[in-house]
Amino acid sequence: MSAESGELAEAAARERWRRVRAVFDQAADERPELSEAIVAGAAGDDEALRAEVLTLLAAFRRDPLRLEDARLEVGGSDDGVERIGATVASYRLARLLGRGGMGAVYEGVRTDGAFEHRVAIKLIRSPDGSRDIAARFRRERQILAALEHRNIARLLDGGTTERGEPFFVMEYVEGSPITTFCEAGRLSVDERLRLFRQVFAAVGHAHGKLIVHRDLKPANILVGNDGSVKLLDFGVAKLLGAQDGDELTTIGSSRRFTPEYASPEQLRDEPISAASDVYALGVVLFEVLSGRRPYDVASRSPVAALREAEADVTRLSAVGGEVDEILRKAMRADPAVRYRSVEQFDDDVRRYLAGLPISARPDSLGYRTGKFVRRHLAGLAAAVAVSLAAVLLLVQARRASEAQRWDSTVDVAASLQQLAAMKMGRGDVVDADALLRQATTLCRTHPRWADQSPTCVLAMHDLGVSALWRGDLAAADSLVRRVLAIARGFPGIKPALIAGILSDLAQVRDAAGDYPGAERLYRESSDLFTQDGADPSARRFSMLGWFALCLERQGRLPEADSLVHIELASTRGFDQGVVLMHLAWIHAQEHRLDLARDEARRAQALAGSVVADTGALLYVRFTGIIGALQLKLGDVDGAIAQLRDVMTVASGRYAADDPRLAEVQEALGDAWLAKQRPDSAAPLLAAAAATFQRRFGPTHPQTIAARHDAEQAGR
Amino acid sequence: MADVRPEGGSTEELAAILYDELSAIAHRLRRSERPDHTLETSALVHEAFLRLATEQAAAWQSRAYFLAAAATTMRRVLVNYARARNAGKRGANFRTTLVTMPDATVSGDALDVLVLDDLLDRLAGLDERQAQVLELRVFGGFEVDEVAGILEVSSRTVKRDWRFAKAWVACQLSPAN
Repeated sequence: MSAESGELAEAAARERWRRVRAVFDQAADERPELSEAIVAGAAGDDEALRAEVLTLLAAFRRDPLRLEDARLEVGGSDDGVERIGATVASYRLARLLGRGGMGAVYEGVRTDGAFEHRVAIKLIRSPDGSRDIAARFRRERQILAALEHRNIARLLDGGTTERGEPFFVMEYVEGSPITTFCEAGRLSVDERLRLFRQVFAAVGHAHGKLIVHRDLKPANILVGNDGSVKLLDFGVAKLLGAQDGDELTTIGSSRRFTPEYASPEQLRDEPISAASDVYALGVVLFEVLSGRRPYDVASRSPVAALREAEADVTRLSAVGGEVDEILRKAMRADPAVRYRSVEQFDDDVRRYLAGLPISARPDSLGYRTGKFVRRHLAGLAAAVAVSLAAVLLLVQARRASEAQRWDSTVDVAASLQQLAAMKMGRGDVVDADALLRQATTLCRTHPRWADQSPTCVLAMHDLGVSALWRGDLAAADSLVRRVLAIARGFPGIKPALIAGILSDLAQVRDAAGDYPGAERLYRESSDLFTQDGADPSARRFSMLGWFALCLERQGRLPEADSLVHIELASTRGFDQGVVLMHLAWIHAQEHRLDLARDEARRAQALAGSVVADTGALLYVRFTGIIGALQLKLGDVDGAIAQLRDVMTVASGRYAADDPRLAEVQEALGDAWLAKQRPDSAAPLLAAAAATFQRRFGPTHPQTIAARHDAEQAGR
Repeated sequence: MADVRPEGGSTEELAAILYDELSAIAHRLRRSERPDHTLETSALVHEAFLRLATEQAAAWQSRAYFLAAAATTMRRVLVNYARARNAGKRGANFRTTLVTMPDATVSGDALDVLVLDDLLDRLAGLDERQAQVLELRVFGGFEVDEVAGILEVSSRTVKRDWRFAKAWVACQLSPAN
């Protein structure tokens, strides 16, 4: 072949390649059921092209190589293949069935020849030394026996090999992963949903025995030729024990779950529950229905996977319509708003198949706003941090693109800051604090950014807010003022963002008892919010709420009342209930007790049942107000019962010298005083007064009020 | 990879330093005598980055440039080790393995690094950027967004290159071919 014809052939190959690629891209963007028609249309009578693209599409959908998980393997002596013929727990390893991140699976045949009995034997790679799996297996045997279910592959034995690897002997299951089965059989959406109900049945059964799978994924859900589903590996995660290592600080540390299917809480290495399996089932069902994963990137870093998983679920779409609503409800980042159980998830699928109305509903604006308001009322910084983060990150993205280069320092700091914001949202202020300190320190070492980088500003802001909640007002004041100064220097920064920071600074002054200063800042913030296109943002409402409480503390009740009414007019349902409760509280201060009682009742009807299970923070706040109101209305016994309840929750949640705990102590102390029980009241009021004094200083109004009550009880 | 040259040190120097560094890390891991130790390539590359970044901070102004070079070097380190093993030399035994469990549809065994190296060369002949995407993701361990930053193209482009390149490699390896 001459050089010229060689070049020609090469050019032709490239041209061919481009055509294949173009048709592939077109079809891969669409739903699988449309791909054949698209390819046929685009390829025309080029039969070879059609066949080639369809082969590539099949490979893309099946994704057999999982190249994103490719790992360098060191130490070739343990090749997997070499183990064939070895004996493990009276089974001979006959054939390698598969390999993976955790180890390898072999087909095992009984060596004692009693009867022909095939099993699957899973050998776990154990980088951190052997674990006594055999003992655990014996200990857990009864629990595992309870897992008897026709859709669950039985776990027959477990132990540790001579080499120290944990192993599990499982029922041998012949079948293909549920995704492959559905694609191969070209099942309709309804058929896939019906098939998946077997999965629900199996997982629901295990949850009933208090066993969570922790690693649900298509590869663990096999379907036999007869269409019956078998779940693999149930109980394995439990036997292997806790997750290894701190994923957040170690690059590439070992993981015992599959990030693509893991719930946000699992990725954060937090306690997991049945809700984590609900999430994973949502991801798997999404893939079963649509042929793709909800998150495009098979993320290798846990932080990145977490970012994906916490992304806005409202944009996810598998097949459209109500099925999407069901999937979104299962895949909510917050476990509290997912389906409460696999049964509920299954029930919605059943209802959908039967044409009945489903329970999952679109994520309305009201809900999202409500979440902000709730967080605000719970006295948490999360809403602040999150809303600020979104805007500042845009600034950061722009700056980064100007610089045209990546920056590991800012990258790592951004991850730290985002994690901290998540922790803060759950009330883990101490953890958040540590992460934020790391982030700011890191930023300051940066030669170009110093503390002017958006990430550093965010971290400082969140540190300021956490200082506020911890009661370290001097630190909070200086941090938030610094943030304000830097933010004002960002080109093109939105007024609402400055308004938010002003409102935070106002809260710091408010807490310090500097009411005129706080009021000036609240008003400035309010003006800026209005200037920013009269956007009825959650931030603005929460600022108004704080402003109202500030006025109320100063005894300017009519003004506070009118501010709260603005909030009331723009909320619905649960959120309106929360606002009403605040209005009731203000009216109680005004001694308009009948009005207050009426409002409290309406509030309870609107929001009471939700408050009971939205978690401790809001419960403390809301029920605390009810208790204090009961006291004002003369129902002393009712108030004491209510407040003791709150006290139990608050003392489990807050540090002994947390101002929020002190508020509850003070309220309960006052109730005991009203009951003529100064002996019960005195220690509570003394503790509250001590906390306020340490946190807010001796001249703070709250300190003075508590000390006054404490002295009364001591007399 | 447009205009992202280091402000000190040539490409060759960087490659040489990286090669030594990655080989040293790999040797150390092998000596650690764990029975079956795997680690992600990204961990290796990042470890090299952290070490070199602190030692020679001034020389490598562009992280993107560094990381791209690291991925290429990583590939060379692995290929050379694999060749040494095939030549019957003692010790060296590296391979990239693929998570296929329990869906052992490909072969149930590891994809040899030499096979992948060969496929990457062929892919580069057809589409240079796709080959770069594959190299960065597999040997550098970078995520889509990182690859996009390094190659200065959009994440969408990287995703599309990636999904096609993966499908192509899978087809080349399937028994029919």
